[in-house]
Amino acid sequence: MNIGVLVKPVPDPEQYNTITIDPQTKRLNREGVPSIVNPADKCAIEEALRLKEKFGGKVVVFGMAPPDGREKLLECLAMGADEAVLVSDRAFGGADTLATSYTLVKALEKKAAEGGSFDLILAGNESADGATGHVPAQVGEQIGYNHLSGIVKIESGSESEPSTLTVFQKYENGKNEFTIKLPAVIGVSRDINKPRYTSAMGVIKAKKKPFDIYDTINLEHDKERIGLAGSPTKAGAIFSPDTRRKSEELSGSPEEIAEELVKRIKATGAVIVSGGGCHER
Amino acid sequence: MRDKKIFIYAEDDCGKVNSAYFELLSKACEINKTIEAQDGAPAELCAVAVGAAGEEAMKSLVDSGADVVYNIKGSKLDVYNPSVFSEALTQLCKAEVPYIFLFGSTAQGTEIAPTLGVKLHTGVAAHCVDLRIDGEGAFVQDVPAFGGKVIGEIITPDTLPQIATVKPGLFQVTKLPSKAAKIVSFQPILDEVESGGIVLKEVHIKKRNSLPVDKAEVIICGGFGMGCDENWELLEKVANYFEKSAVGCTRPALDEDWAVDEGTMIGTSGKTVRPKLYIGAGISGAMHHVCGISDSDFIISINKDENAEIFKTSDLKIVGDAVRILTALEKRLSKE
Ligand SMILES: Cc1cc2nc3c(=O)[nH]c(=O)nc-3n(C[C@H](O)[C@H](O)[C@H](O)COP(=O)(O)OP(=O)(O)OC[C@H]3O[C@@H](n4cnc5c(N)ncnc54)[C@H](O)[C@@H]3O)c2cc1C
Ligand SMILES: Nc1ncnc2c1ncn2[C@@H]1O[C@H](COP(=O)(O)O)[C@@H](O)[C@H]1O
Repeated sequence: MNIGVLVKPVPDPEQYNTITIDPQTKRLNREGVPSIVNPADKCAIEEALRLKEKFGGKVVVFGMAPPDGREKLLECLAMGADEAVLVSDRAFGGADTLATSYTLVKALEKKAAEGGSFDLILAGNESADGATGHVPAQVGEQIGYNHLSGIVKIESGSESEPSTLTVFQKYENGKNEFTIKLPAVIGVSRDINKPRYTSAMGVIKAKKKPFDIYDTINLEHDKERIGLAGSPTKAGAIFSPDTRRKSEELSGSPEEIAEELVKRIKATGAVIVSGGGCHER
Repeated sequence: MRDKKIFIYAEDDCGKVNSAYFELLSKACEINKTIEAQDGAPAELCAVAVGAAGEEAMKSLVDSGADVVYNIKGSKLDVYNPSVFSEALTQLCKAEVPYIFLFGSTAQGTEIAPTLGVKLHTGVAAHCVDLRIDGEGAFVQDVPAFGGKVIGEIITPDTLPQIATVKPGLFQVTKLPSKAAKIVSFQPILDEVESGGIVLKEVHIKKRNSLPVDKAEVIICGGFGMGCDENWELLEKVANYFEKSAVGCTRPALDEDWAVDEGTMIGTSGKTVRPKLYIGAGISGAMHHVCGISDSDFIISINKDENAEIFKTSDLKIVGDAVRILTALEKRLSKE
């Protein structure tokens, strides 16, 4: 089973509280926030590696990012992916999800033409920074494969390589169980698995694995459909929502605090049930 | 002349209309005032229902305050199938050319909206937190980035429809007077559409023994600082002292399996809540979580770290051990 995995380098989400907007330039200031592989994309790689262990084939990771994205793709190779493609060119920048997914589709098609078509393309369900969750569906639609997002479990049956997968999608009232015919694009949620750790051996091996860089010269494309020009949405002003509140402190012994808390709680209109027997919540 | 149409996806929710529809309709009605002032006529508010919308759902759509209800019917539309639904909606959009098309950021909405974006080659703004028409008549969509730390304005200047998804629970529902909407049946041509690529085999509905967090008036929310399963039960015990209450959680609490129901996670990838009272215990205050609680009426936080970010977003702050404070609170509540 040949599997492509879409991987986006993102600023470390643990540090988003430190991101600010420069009051003068109105630009984003994210200095000092390091990049990591988007958390959900690691789950996509993990799922791909498990399928490869079962059915054979190869796992190719694709990332569209500035040149320093190379390091993040090397991490994916160290984790166990077989090949990497960095899609990188200034002209790809400023892309919205439609232009991003168009560009990724072109890269997937080029790689498939050279090294065999993909049976499955896995993506994270959403990126930590932009978090639109649109790229899996838009890649699927543009490449012409079946596609589903929000997947929390993939069942591949046993023995021979499947032509259909059973997948479970998280939805508001529970889970939808679908079958999806391959080739397909699937966006996986972080609930799907716990990604493996990278071994020291993996890091050494990663440097010897095939690594391609696609740019506007070697990647065939329609220049009206990439970057800013290919993006029907345009970004305007940015601002930071003000979520500050008065932050009044209650202190004392736990008992004293509890006494005061109950008063404050009542003032909010919350209804206390005597005896704590509110089982029909 | 009323040449603009605002479409709102009326998602089926077990035979009823998903509440996101009513939230979006209320917002569309608000936007429409600006459109009317600028254009001299309001846009037509249109509910769009796909599949065999039942009598009950149809009635609530007709009475919802919309002008028109599009009822998209066809033999391949009885069961939810994202690719067939998207094709049907594409055909309706090509026939009617809506100005704006709104979806709830539900599992269905987040699948269909970007698919339509490709099929109609237009822009889609994701998980919007606000929508408005600016002074120049542009439809401005506020989208969160970096877990909600930053909000960016998005416009789709050159293509129609301007598609947006909105997180359910964010916009408040205003009851609108019924306009006894006109029902328009639409039959898409789906003969060529492959419906076997994706098949919905079964819907596993999760039974909940308490209110969903987004419907609760009191939320007792726990984070990674709760430490273990045993301590987690304390949240349930405290919640039991309140009417219309629910226990919520953060991402790490779910990862640790202290919270078992993913539906109770609050924040960017979880629910947006607006309770009368939110008590958070052992929560650091990452923007990913805070953006889901910031509309709460009153926020109380307990954290042992006096510099915890969550305190900045709290009305009341308690620096201390969550287990000790909650145990004392439970004891005190038992005397009520
Ligand atoms: C794409 C993406 C989406 C995400 N979406 C969500 C989301 O929807 N919802 C969400 O919640 N998170 C989400 N996250 C995760 C989020 O970034 C944070 O990691 C998470 O909210 C932190 O949860 P926490 O506060 O429980 O844990 P931590 O950050 O580990 O904080 C634990 C806190 O407990 C305190 N503490 C420890 N012991 C005690 C004690 N005994 N008494 C009192 N306090 C104590 C500590 O001081 C600390 O402040 C998302 C992340 C990503 C990347
Ligand atoms: N620039 C990119 N390069 C590679 N994969 C991407 C890129 N942007 C998005 N993706 C993939 O699409 C998923 C959803 O991203 P998003 O639509 O931005 O929330 C991510 O988790 C990645 O798997």
